[in-house]
Amino acid sequence: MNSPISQRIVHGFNRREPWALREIYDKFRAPLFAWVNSKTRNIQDAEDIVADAFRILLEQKGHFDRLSRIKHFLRNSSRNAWLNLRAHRAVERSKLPEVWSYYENSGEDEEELRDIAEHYMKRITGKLDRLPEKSKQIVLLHFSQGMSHAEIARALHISEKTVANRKVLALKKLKMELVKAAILFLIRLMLML
Amino acid sequence: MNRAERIGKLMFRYLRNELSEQETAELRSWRNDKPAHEAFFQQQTDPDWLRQTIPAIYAGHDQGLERLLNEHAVKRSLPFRRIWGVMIWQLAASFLALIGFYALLTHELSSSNGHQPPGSQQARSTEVKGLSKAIEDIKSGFRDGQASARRAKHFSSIPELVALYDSTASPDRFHTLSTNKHGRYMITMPDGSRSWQNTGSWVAYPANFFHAETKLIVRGEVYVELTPNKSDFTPFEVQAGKISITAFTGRFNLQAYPKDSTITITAIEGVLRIKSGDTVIALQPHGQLVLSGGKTELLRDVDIAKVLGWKKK
Repeated sequence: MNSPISQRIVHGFNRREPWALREIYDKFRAPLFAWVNSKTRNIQDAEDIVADAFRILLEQKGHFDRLSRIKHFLRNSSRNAWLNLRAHRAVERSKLPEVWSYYENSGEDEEELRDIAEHYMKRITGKLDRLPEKSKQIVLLHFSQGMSHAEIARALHISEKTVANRKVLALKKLKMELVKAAILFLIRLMLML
Repeated sequence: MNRAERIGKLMFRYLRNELSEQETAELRSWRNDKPAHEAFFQQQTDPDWLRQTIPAIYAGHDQGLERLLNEHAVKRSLPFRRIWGVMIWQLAASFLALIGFYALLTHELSSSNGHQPPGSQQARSTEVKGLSKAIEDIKSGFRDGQASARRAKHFSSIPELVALYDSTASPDRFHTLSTNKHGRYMITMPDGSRSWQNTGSWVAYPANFFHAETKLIVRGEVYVELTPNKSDFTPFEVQAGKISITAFTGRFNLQAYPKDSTITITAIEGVLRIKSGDTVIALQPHGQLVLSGGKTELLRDVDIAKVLGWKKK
């Protein structure tokens, strides 16, 4: 974390250079967002909390000496915001499955779990980022909005056949067995209805 | 490869159905280690959660960055404001220097006021500001490094401030917040610990939280909730007059108004280590220590709701 590149980024950030801000945002936003969303289970809340964490970071008067300090600052800010939101919304723990309440109570090794989540998410997004841009868009549109081949084809101005081929190739590349399992689960559910 | 990286890799390989038998056993052993690990694993590999989260990471990324850069660019493109800001700073600094010089000459600084906090030597470098002033500063966008807090969203009846800090500040530099007889505030510190400040109270907190010890200096009443994750910020100390309270985790209430001769400390969760002169007392949860004059009274099973009644008013 303290490589010459990191030092250069930290130095740039301390001068609030936009390029350094971009580097930090690209580096930390995805794991931060994933973690917050695992807590809030609401995309909009997670977006707001993460955006606020970066705003607070930018407002800091002091200089940072290490990239890890910036990471921990963002983690703490987002954690505080989540705790506030939870207190405000009075999320009833009893409504959560038992397994979640264990997770909620695991304060002592939360930092390690966040590190694990960061490495894990980096690998997932890394794989997606290596896909050709169009294939990535197809996969994301399909999963996030449940768009059909025809809808994706219209949105991306390509043929339906290309959508189907690229999706198959992309999924093969991703080999996300559990994501496929989710689709199978949905299909089974639809058949049962 | 450290453990976090290793487990992250194994979880990813699990998603891709690529785990060898040995790796499966290794991941299984980690999952069985603690219930929190299994819960975390289930949550992170939940297909529905992945389906919702991964596209959202990409969907909001560019917009969020653009918005942040734009906001930042607007702030940076206000040269007149910056120049005026510098001039105001210079004027303010000159004015303060003159006052300081005058105070030194007339020897009035040390005998000046009843506003100096207990342990005031350590709060000396910070101007004691009223909360209303700090809030006004924040509203007007004024930052002098001592306006000590950022106003957060109001989720409760007690307004909340998020403590700002400077990672380069020396350990003896403190920020201060005081409430008048009508105001109550909550401060969230960078480590996640929170302190609720009752009316007519004064609290000094460190300008830099990255030292080995986090210390609050209190005159008045505060309720403190320490973050459960104190790995980076241990231990936590609260000082009120000659009393010091040290805790690593938990919640407690401290009432130490200078006008009263009584100091009351109530442990709600976690054990408190209380030091008064040469005496050290370990206060157990639901215990209360009342120090009045030279007398010390230890109570057990106190009514916590009654102690924290002021928070709900």
